[in-house]
Amino acid sequence: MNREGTALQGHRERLHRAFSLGLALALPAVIILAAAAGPVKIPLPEVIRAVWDPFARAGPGASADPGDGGMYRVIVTLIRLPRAVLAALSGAALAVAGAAFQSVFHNPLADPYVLGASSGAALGAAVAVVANLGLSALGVGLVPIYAFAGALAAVFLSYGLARRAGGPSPLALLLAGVIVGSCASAALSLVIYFSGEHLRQITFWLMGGFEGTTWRSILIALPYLTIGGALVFVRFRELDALLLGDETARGLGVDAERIRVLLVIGASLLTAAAVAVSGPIGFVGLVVPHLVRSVIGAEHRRLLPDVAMAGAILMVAADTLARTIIAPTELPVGIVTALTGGPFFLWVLGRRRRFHPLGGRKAT
Amino acid sequence: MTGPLYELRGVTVGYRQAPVFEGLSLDLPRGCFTAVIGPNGGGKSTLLRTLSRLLRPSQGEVMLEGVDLRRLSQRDVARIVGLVPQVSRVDFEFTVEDIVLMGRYPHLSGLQAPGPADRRVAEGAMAATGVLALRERLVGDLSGGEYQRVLVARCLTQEPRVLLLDEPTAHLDLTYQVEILDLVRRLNADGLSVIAVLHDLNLAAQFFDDFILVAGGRVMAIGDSDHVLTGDLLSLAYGATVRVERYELRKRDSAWPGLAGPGAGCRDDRFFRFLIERHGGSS
Repeated sequence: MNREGTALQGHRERLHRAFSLGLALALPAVIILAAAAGPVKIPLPEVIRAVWDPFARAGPGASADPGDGGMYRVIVTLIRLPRAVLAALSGAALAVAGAAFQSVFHNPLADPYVLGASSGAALGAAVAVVANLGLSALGVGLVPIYAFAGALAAVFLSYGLARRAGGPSPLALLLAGVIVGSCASAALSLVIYFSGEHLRQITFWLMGGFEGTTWRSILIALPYLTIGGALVFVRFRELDALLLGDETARGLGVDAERIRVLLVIGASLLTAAAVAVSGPIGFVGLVVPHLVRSVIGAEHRRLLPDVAMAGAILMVAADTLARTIIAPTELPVGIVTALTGGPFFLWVLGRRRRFHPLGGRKAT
Repeated sequence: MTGPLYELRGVTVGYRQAPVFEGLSLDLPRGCFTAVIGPNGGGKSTLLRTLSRLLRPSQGEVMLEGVDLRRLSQRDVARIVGLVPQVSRVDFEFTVEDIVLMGRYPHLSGLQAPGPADRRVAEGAMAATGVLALRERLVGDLSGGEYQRVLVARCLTQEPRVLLLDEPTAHLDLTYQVEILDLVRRLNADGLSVIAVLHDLNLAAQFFDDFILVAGGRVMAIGDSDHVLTGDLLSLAYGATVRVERYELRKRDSAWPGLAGPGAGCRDDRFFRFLIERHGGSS
């Protein structure tokens, strides 16, 4: 019996390793394909050469470089590569934030949209742009800060509302989140209504997308992604315990209330950074954690890295699809993720025998 | 290793503005095998939640092995006390082994993942509870009895000195009820202190040594069956006339009148029947 168990354990470990390895290979592959695809088809060897040595002749002098090689290099290193990398970062951030929210509120339907995190972030960022608050200081982009403030305000407002309504149960939190999210969306509409010269910019940004990404956009988001990601990743054990509910988590020695606040801050930072640079993009945070869990299980030590990679791959693929499917017109990537993610998610739900949309189920 | 396991002194505890217990004092000895019984809403679970530090008293003190619970972190408590909460199933894709290994979390810190030594503890706990063969199964696919044993295995993996169980037999078939209580009885024989909230008086009487009768936010009685399982006390607690019939049995008495037959851990020297006398009605 024991030996059989150990063999099975080995089987599961191998499955997990194979899956992680597959993701780790697929991520650079999909980024390279994304850099090759577009109105100007770029041969893969050229892409790889440009990626291998991105700053060789990029920059101001690049356009003087004669021939296709120089042009390819400019397109890859200054336009497509930063765009693909940002899409990857944003997808990873939203997916990890989704996994964290699902665990913290032990609710499989939680994602960065619950608790109004995304709407709050969008509102914060829009207010900052319209009111022309300081958008950078000391060379650090500040839009994510405003988005973060908006996200955090929305989350804690939801949390406070749910508590007042009789304890922070997952259901109360979801309902409060819907209300706060709606209010934030309404406030956002108001901001847009009075946005004047910024109308086009904000409307476009709200549709979600990576058009016009530069390396600078990545530098803006990176510090927030790093801090938010670290806050979530170091809590892999607590995430396991919280997924089973507060009572169980506390029985396992987790200071549930405090850890939840830390994790919500981390997940909100991730959400805010992604929303600030690419607008709100739905479904990645909801779908990816479920997909990965169904393959390798729910244990976060294994889950989180794979969720990050899968989210990155999905977002790069969705963005590439969005800008090539009806080229030269670009679709907002949020439309692609929603149109493919929604039905796919329903399919996953239908396939699973035991799925309980409101989390937990009392055995009867 | 002397002194009581728990000492409660003047404890006022409850939810928000409404305290359930006011000025509660009691002692529980080490190695106890105690059932908390009483009507719904009387404070059984509140008492258990107080002992596991899930609820913090607004007044008074709870001492665990001589140390004030307020001076211990949730993690410290989790290394001494294992809590088996009421079964509530969450069907995220955890395997039995994932769930049981979580019992090591109070012993891990920083970025530590469970190592080989932790796995050995978890395997021992799974073997003791008979779920080793299920280790790779998803918990969502288990029966109620199997899942309950997995939860006990997780608690044992914490290597606790105290096991607190909240309605461990709720929602279980009769055979699983006996199985679980047999299991904790054996663990108690190995030195683990066990305190369980039980709804079912018959099961409690069959398996446990000592009883805490809780009703209306008061501990009405504490002690062995002679002192607690009396018609007068139970009638008062449940607000109905309860008649207690007690049978003393000789060992190996073949005609055992229980429903499921005695398990290995149940006391086979006595048997109780609790009858509620009906008032009014035509029959």
